[in-house]
Amino acid sequence: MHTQLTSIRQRIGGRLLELELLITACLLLIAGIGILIAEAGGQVRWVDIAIVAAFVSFFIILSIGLALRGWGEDQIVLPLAALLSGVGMVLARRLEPDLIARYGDIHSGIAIKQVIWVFLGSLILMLVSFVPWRLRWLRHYRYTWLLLGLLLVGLTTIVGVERNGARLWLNLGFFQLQPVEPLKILLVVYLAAYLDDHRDLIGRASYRLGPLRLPPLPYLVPIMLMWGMTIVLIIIQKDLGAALLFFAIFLAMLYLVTNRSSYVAAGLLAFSAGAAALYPIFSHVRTRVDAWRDPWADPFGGGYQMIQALYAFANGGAVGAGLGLGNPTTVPESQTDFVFAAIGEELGLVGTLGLLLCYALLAIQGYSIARNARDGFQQLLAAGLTTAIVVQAFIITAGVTNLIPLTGITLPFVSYGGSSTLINFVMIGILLRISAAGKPPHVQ
Amino acid sequence: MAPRTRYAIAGFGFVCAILLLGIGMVVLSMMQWRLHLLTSLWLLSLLPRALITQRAAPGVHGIARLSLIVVLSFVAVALQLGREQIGQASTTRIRVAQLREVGATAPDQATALRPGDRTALGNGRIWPVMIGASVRGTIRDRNGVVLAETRDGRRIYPFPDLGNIIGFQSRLYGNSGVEAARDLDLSGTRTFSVTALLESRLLGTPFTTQPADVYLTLDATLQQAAQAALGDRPGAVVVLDPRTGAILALATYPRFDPNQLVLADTASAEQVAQVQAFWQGLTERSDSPLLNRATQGRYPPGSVIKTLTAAAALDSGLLTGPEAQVTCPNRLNTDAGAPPVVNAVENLAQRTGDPSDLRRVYAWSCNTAFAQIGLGLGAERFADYAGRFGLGFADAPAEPALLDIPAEAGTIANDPAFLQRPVALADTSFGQGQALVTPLDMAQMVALVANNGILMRPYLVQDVRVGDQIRSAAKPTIIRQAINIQAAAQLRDVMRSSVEFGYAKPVALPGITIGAKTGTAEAPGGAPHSWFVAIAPLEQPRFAIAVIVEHGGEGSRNALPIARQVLAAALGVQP
Repeated sequence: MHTQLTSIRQRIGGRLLELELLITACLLLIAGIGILIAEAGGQVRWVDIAIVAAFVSFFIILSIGLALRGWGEDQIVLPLAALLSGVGMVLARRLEPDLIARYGDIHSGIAIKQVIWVFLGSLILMLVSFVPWRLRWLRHYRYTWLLLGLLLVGLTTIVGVERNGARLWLNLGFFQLQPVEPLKILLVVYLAAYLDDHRDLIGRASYRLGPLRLPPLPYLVPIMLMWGMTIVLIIIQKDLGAALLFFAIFLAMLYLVTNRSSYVAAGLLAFSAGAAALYPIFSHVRTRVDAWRDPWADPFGGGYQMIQALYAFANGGAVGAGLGLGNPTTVPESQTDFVFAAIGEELGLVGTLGLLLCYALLAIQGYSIARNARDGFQQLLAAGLTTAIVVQAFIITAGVTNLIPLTGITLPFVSYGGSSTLINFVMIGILLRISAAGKPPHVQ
Repeated sequence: MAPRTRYAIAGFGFVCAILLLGIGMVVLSMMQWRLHLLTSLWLLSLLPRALITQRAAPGVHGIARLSLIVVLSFVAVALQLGREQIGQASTTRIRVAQLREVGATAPDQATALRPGDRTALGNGRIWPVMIGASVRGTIRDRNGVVLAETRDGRRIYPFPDLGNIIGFQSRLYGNSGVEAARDLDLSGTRTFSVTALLESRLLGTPFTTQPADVYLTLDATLQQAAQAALGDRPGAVVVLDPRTGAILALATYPRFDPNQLVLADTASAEQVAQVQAFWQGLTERSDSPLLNRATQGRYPPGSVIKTLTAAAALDSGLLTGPEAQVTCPNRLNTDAGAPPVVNAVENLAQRTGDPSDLRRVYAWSCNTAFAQIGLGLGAERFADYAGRFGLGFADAPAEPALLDIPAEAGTIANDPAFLQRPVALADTSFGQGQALVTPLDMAQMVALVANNGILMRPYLVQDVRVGDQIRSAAKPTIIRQAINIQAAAQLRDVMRSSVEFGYAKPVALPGITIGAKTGTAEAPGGAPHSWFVAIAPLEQPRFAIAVIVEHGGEGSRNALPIARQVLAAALGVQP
């Protein structure tokens, strides 16, 4: 009995960093909720308690569970994800009344829904962490994943639900799934397996096409396929953001295997060429690029959303208007794609830089997990998953600030939305599993 | 490449990148900024890339570079945020504000705002301190008489005649006049503390500012007298304290009532329409009521400029004193072929005597005499003296001396080459030619004669107070010693003669010595402008005055009585 207690104490002690970080994040969350309560004149709503309670019960219990098991997972990634999703819940809670006032009752309850999504996400995270499954399975069933992915895309194309002019949703009755989200994981898993199999091709004779030296066929084919797939995504599903993200993930992983920046450059060139070719044909591409080039040219049409976002950022200034004191809902889609502008307005440059720092830290930590992974497949997998999260964060933050053309995509963990929250937690789960240095052989 | 060279290049690249970013942060267009950003990120990446190549284990190069790219991407977003949230923030706000004013092309989303929500800076989403109309300071005259105050969220101007000076604080048309120039003080933004602001932002508590009260140099009583004297004749009256440059009265007509442009915090659509109609009326009127003629109206100076010519002659030693001999012929030929200079009346020499002296040609305003003095000075010297009096050339105008409200600087000619022609120099010396001056310029001209040749900077804001505490006070500042003390004293003597026996005689007030000059400036489209300048009391001048009545005929007819009335009020004597 006594030895058991000592052992528990040792295990908790070995994972104190994560616990401390989580408690810090929790304090921040409580401060945010506290401000919102103070502004409501001290009126506490159920959802306020639910958010704090959810955070404590989901993440802190999860952390203690991980500590007791003692596989030695990474201790930074979970607090970062938890903090970001905490910010997401607070923002959903803060935006809900304004959204209802401005756009009507369809937005009522988004705060509690977001809490439920985070709950489901952490439940999945627990499942991924504690159900004894083998990482090897991911590699083993690579074609199953590929098939599943293609099936999802195909289904959406045929029976998908259209919203805002883009066919991105699959109606599952109880909720509408965005198939692009699970596709991210399926793609990363498949690519990791495929590229790891063809790792030894470097230096092999390559094909020549006139003056051009083409990559070896096993690289060339997926490059072409991926490129084709992104173009199809843009044309059929009108989903620029996902296309850009998938292509970026693929190029990053290809670069890790080949170490050739020329492939990346060629890939980027091909993507730009594709986009340029689509520019005159498809109005949704044109609108985005025009708004990027000069949003002020059409301030009440194509540039409206961007100008509202820039205005929100400008009004935020260095320290922001204060949580709950801005007017972020004037930017359309402020709870999802444009949540970063809401943060910029209410928390200012301090808030936005803080958020960027979180993603940068996640990137560094994720890549260091990849570096320390035990084999090539796990390395590619970890790097791919990290890339998927942080590049998505980059695409939307850079898009909202008008650095690159805006493409609709969620801000990982922070944006309101079910599919995206669930899938991000699955990715964190897999990352944690890869980072567990002390995991027993039967789950490797 | 040797590692040392590599590091050197990388370090150089780093410095270049910082420079590029610094430049890009403020000036460039969005596309240029993106180019800057891309280039400087590439330069910034040189150092870490060199480090990775040199230091990292070969197996992890790929991953290290990938992390580098991702981190640099976030740096790019961070810099973009810095630009949007700090560097370009006010530009964005102003551009959005301008968008709202277009209105007509805006779809539902933009016009759905209630009209009362509209401000010059958008929909009121700006920091509350900027638009806190309910806590704005008062504007008062030198004796504390309230000229503008906020009551129940509404700006009130008890003196509706001061719109051109005090300005207005309109939620539709922005601020103007002192309201605009001293907005930071009046709104309390200048006195705010950064820590208090941070605290309020973090805790969400309302941010309280300390609005300051602005005290002007104006004397409301004198201002009333000047306005009453001017009546409803288009023109202006400027009264200065020559010792300090403080503006005591500044009347202009036509004018407007700023109360008509103010909207309360909650305004009905009807009230908004009313204000808009009033504004439209103001901007459409052909007599420009929004123009402050006293500081912005540019008129040909006529004979009052002879004061400047005389000052130049006395200071430069061309003429030795009031008794220096000058002739006053009926005609003076300058250039071959150019029409000769003539006097306003024939045989003026009967009055001035022949040969005459400076005292008498000034008193009787002899054109040919001053043409000769101007020619004697020469173009360079004359232009130099004009410059000392604050009059430049239109192709390179001087900065307006008055900084508190919008003002124009007068010019002696369009370009220096003009004065090179003798006929042009002769014309300019007695008040024709291309010279265009403001009433304030002319008041300044006689003020410096009164102030021993020292030109003071005119100012309108005396001090800024929070409660009883003075936050900042205007210090009288010398612009330059334009002419020497002796020349100034001699010129005062000359100006006295003008009142003793010259054209300016009717201005005389019992028991007061006054120095003055009349002017009649030929003006296109009607009778000449009527000018009058004076300083009093001559022994120790406390007032310098300039009056213009547009198309008022001879200076002694219209402008002189106004000046007399105002001086009487200022000096407290019965006219």
